[in-house]
Amino acid sequence: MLEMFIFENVQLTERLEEILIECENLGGFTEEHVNEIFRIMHTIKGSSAMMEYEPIATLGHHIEDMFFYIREHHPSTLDTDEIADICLNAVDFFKQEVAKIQAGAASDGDTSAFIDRIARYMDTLTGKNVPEPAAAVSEPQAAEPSAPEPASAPSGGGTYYCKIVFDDGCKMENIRAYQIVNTLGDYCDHIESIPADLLEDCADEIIANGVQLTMHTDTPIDTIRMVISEALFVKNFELSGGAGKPAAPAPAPVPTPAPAAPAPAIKTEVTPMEAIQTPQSSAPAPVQPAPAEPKKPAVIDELPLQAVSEIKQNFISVNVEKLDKLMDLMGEIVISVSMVVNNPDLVGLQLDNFEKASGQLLKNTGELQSIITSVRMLPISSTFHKMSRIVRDTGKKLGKEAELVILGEETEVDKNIIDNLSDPLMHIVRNAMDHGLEDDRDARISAGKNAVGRIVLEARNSGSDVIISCSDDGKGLNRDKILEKARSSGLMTRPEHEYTDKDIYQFIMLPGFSTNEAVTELSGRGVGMDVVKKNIEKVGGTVDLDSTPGQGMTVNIRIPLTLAILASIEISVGKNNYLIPTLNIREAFKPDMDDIIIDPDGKEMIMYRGECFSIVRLHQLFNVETEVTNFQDGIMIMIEDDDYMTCVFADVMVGEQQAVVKPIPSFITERIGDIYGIAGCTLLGDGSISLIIDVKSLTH
Amino acid sequence: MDDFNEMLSSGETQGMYLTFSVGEEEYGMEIDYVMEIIPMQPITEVPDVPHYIKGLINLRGKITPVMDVRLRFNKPPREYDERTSIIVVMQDDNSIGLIIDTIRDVLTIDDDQIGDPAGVKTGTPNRYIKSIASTDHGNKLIINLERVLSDQ
Repeated sequence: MLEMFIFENVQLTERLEEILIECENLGGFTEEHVNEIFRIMHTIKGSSAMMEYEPIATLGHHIEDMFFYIREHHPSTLDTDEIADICLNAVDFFKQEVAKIQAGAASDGDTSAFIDRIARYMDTLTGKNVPEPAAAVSEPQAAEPSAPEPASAPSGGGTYYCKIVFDDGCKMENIRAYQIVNTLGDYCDHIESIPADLLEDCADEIIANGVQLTMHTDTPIDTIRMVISEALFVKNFELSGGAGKPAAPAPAPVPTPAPAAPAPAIKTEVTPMEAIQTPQSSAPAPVQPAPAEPKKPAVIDELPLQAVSEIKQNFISVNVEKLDKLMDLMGEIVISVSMVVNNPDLVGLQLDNFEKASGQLLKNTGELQSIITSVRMLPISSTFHKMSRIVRDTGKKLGKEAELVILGEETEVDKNIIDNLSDPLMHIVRNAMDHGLEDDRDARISAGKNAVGRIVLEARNSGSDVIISCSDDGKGLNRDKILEKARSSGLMTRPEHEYTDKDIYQFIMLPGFSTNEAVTELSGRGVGMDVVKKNIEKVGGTVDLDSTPGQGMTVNIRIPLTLAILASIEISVGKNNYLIPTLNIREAFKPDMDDIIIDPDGKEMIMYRGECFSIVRLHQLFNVETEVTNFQDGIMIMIEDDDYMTCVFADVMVGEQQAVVKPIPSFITERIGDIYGIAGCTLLGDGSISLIIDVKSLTH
Repeated sequence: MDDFNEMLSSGETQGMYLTFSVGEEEYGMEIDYVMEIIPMQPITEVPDVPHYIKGLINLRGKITPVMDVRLRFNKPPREYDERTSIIVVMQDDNSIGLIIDTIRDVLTIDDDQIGDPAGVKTGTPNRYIKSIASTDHGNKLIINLERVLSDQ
């Protein structure tokens, strides 16, 4: 329950943040926006009231009121900045409270400052001492207090029977029913339900049979009908009564008192986690946008707002742990399959049917694998959109103006990687704002640039990698300054002239390296780029920088699509087998002895296609005994990483393997640290263990 | 070997020791440390490790490092044979295999049968031995497993 609440709240606040930033950029609120914000606030308020988180509910309530007013009255002057500011602060407040709740603490934030601010703004909005809107609005639709419907006869008292059926798949049916009972409780002297205790886990029963209610009340039947029809996700209901018999053939209700749990502080409809989607049922949904009156001053004309309602409908949420397990299991299955298909007992046998069947099995597992991989893939858009908040906040703090351009947000990346990407990206964007963009607009204008800075976030696929780049159009990196700093910190390990500009730029990713003398609140402490680099490397990615002086700089992050299963080529050296990731293999060839060059230090190199590559003999590197020591007897494999290439010499290539990468046991790494040239290990199809070669360390 | 494993899984372990031989001597270790005993397995070598770490084995899908106790005790290497066994022990949730020459027995040894190793008096105790037990089946050197597994 709590988990659901947190999940829902996090999603809603994120969505809210997106909308607000969008509005701020547009300089106004469209009808759509107002409606959506209203809906989101309403849901947040409702669910937190249900969970009895008072501060969130109160604040949500006030913001909802504000938007209710905006929606209903279309005020002619709207201070977009002020509203967005209030709401964004509120978003922060929600996040903070949810974090508290998540940590098991009580939600105890102080909302009074917010409420004052909202009230003050509402006063200006409503043109002062007009008490009507705030008062009228403060009790939103759900509870139409006993004010009887003018049309209905007040004599409708008596006993009513009602059977309610909820929408298929709306989830938490019992809670929804409980909410209805609770709301109705205010109108009724006595109310009973079947199942009797709705707080018990009786959702299945409700799905099967619906909820049956028996009420004694003086309230007219129309009011009851209205209350029920206003509840969300009600598919249909039958209401009958007066003195009569049950509408459905209901068994005589056992006279148990209705659950006397504390009623939520604020009356509200049931809280669907899908509140942002349009309920597709026939049930009237009160939070739906009211039929839009075409008069909307100060509200921008309709803009194509992404149809959130439609995109989200087919989604279910799954615990990531389950997905991780599924992924692990898939890895094991891939291995088991190859254990069966390449079983040594089968060698030399002519098994036509087996071949056919195993071919089918391989094909199916391959498909299964790619689907499971894709299940874990999420579009990167949410991470990117979080950055617009960063651009806005840092921009305000630094007094710089910048627009964020997002390209390729639909690119999909493994969930794991997305989680690890957010912090590094934040650093990079902040850096771009703080150091990248010029401090004042005059400098920009005199450099012939647009006064408003531009930060471009882009994601695209490249082979089995995803490249994420962040570029700004600021002043770029100062090559000389970096060089000077590197020299004084003793970071230069080669003669200066051997460094290319690009090499020099990479220095700023070293720990403690910052050319910014003044430490600002945001960045400039020299932690930043090295943290970025570390975080990205943790998920198997790489970072590099490029810059054109005066034109800005670009940070390129290259990460693998998925980490779990690595296609690789198995090679053998002596009696040991090793794996090289297929992606890193450029080619393999039999060397020609004439092309071998040995320098005076005894370092071996090979000329191949007019280029010279150094040779790494794996049997020497790993200290393995083998009979294959002549280059003609073995095989050269050219491996590459980024643009660095090296030839490794092995005995023979064995074949292809799908490897599930596992770390070298800590018992070993604790003793000797990382092993040079080894990235990890894996179990092969025949149950043996193979080491995976670390191409990066061998080529760089 | 299965008998041993059965014994390992049967409840009461207080005062019980697994004894095994490495070379001429017989050693013992508290049975609480022992997860199971398995026959010799194919080992994948790992470069750059100390000579007594032989590499990695596949223990039912778990990649487990193995250490040769004979080499750890600075004894000359010896060919593995059908009596060579691996004792799997746990250290901080990680399993580690110890290669020993031969499994001997599981014994109950009373505290009063256990004494200080001779070296304590002469001033040079072997760092891997914490005590000596004299039993009806001869003397057993009780190993200090933490030290054997430590990285010094």
